[in-house]
Amino acid sequence: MTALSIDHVSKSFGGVDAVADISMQVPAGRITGLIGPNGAGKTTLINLITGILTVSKGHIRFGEQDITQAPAHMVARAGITRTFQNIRLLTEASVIDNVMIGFYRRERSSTLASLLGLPAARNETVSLRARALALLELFGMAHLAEHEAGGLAYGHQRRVEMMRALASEPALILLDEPVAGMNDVEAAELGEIFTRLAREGMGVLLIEHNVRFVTQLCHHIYVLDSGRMIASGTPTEVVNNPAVITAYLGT
Amino acid sequence: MSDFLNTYHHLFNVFLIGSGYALSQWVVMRAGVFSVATAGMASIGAYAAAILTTRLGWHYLASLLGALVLGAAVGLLLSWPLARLRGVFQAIATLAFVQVVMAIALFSDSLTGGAMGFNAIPTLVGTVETLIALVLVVYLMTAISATRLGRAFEAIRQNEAVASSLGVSVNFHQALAFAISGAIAGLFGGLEAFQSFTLFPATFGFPAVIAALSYVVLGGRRSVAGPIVGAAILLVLPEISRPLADYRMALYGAILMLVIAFLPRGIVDTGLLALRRRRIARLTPPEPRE
Amino acid sequence: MLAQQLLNGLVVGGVYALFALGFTLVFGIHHLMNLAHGAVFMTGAFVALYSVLAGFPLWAGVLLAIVVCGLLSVLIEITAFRRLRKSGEAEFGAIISTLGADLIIVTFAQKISASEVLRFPFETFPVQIFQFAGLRVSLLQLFMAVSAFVLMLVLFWYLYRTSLGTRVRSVSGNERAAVLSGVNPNVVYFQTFFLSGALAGASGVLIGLAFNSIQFTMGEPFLLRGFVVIVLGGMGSIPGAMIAGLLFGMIQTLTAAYLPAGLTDAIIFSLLFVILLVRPYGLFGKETAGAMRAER
Repeated sequence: MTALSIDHVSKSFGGVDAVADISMQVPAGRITGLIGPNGAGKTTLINLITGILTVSKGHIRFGEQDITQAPAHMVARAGITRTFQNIRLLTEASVIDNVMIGFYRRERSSTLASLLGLPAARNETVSLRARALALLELFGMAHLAEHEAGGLAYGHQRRVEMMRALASEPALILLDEPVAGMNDVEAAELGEIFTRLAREGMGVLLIEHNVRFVTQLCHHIYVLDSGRMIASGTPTEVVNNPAVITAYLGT
Repeated sequence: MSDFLNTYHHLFNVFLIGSGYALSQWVVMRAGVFSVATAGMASIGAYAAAILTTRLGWHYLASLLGALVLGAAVGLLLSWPLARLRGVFQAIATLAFVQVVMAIALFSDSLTGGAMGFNAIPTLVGTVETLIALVLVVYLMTAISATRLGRAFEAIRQNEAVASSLGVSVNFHQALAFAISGAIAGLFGGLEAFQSFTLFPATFGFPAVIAALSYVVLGGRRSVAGPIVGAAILLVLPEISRPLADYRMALYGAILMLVIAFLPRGIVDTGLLALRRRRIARLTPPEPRE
Repeated sequence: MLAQQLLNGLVVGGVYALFALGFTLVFGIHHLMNLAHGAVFMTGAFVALYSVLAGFPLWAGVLLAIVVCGLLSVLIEITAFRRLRKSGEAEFGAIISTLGADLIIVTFAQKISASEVLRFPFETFPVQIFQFAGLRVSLLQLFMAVSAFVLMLVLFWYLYRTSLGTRVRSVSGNERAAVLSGVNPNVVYFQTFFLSGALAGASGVLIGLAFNSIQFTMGEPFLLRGFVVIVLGGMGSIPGAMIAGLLFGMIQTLTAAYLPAGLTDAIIFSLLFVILLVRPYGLFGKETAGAMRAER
């Protein structure tokens, strides 16, 4: 069971610390929460984990692998997938194309086979299409398969991003505000999906503003404020923590 | 009748070669690279093929293969420094590359004949060989679009951060795109060499850059048919009437401006998109409002 | 001898600086490249020449060239750039669209001039050589240097000392914010493009006078060299364009004087390539320009 372990990680931009001395564990099979007021550094931390930003100090380990310096595509190949806070779909592509690109890291066709258009490569495309369609049906969006991703309603776009992330069969999924802007019903639906994923062995790091949503789902919550960890514990502990209350009321 | 065939025979050859260059330009842009290096790589391929056959006595097929490999190597080499640049800066860097190639071709007259040209190249290929080459390249390009390579290119082109986050190595794919682009450019440069009695460095200068870019912009940057349709239109239009031919460059210019203003995706891509949207509209019942 | 070449280079460099300033004005403020800038430059030389041939005094021809080129540049803005301002692919679209404009303008110049190389009538500009400190300076060179200097002063005064200029600079950062604070973007675009064209036209006239070989193709090599200047100085940097222009003038003159003729281009463009590799933001540009962008 691979766990993500963040060890005293800091990131500074020209002398200013965006995040400082962050340590946390994201175990497999559980949903871990990361909350904090706006600008606390949550997305920065995600970017550090996924290799978009380089770590200034500290280490990040995923299972046995040290991924501190790994570039973005290598982090993805190690089994870590993320969703984006502002949805980043490929707007010109269809919904099903967006989901299919999610399968990339699991595809087995070699570059050469693809370049030559060998049957193996083409067949894999066909089978991926079927799997993508199955995923779409699971999320109730099969009828939108060929639609342009850019033209979808907000809730649908969020779901496409989720499907794309799931398509890569990650060992750990980083969700950056996945239910932002959703009503309670939609959020609850997604929450159930997250719970099921964790039960099936995936590690889930959930970043959210919706504190009630987070406390309902997570086994353990970390609280960030101004780039530092100010609290860590079970949902009940965190919600009653005076430092946390001040941080949120202060915004 | 034979006059008609002769004139249009030549035009057809020009079209085939132009389509090749257009595809070379197309494939790098597919992977999100704004490179205009095609003309430079074509120049290298053309001179290499001519030199290999006329000076070293290679069989023309071997020379074409050599031109192809050399083009790929140059493309690969270019990709390394260009990996650090994006957008406009890639365009300028590759434009500089084209200028450097032309300057060197002009300067090394012992090797290339300089400004006076590389003369007495035997005509070793005709329409058939060029057509075969084009068909092969088209096949490979459609193969790319139907497999994970095409998906990777498309993801990189639309959003690099997303592509990386899904495990796609941007550097690897852009280098690959450059190499493929160079291979195609080199091959068609060689084909052009074996159809022209003389080679001049100026043939592969700024006008060649504009031509390849125009074919792709007009036809479409996404579908394989785009560059070919673009080449067909831009090469045939000046033939329709004398005034159009006289003002050929102005015609190209006007088309470019109109395309960007009204059909920015290019003719073929816009058409395909419209068809797709109509098909979806017909198949989908009206959605309940969210 | 070296000092003489440096002097010659400095004078030509002044004109390169003018040209680059015009280009970078649009790029720095609107983040768009105007590939027709070279054609505008060429038009300046043509207008001045034809005015003189038609019997007007040189100073009238120069003024006319500057105004015509300013307006031409504005025309380019209206036809090539305006629709792109809101689109997501403005950068690419601008390049292609202005390339188209360039082709149109050049073709018309070609037709009007019947592809010939034209020259100013003898003594359009009085030939007079001065000597000091062992160096030779022609009256024309003096005129070029002074004109370049004056025009640059005018530009600086406009950008940094007038309210119009301040408004122009405010649009550069954030067009929407500028609009909200009462700036009319179309007015701003008109001014920047007019200035840009005026500078290109002025450089065209000066080069036309200096080398007295005016042809419809003269814009292209200048544009390409202009790229080297702009990248060297830093895209969008006004002081950068100026200093890089002067530097480039000297580099080019020295290369042409001391190295075999055909190599000048190879060296200049290799230099451009190397700069893009090592320091794409040039001497004074912003560090993020041109380099890897992880976010889109």
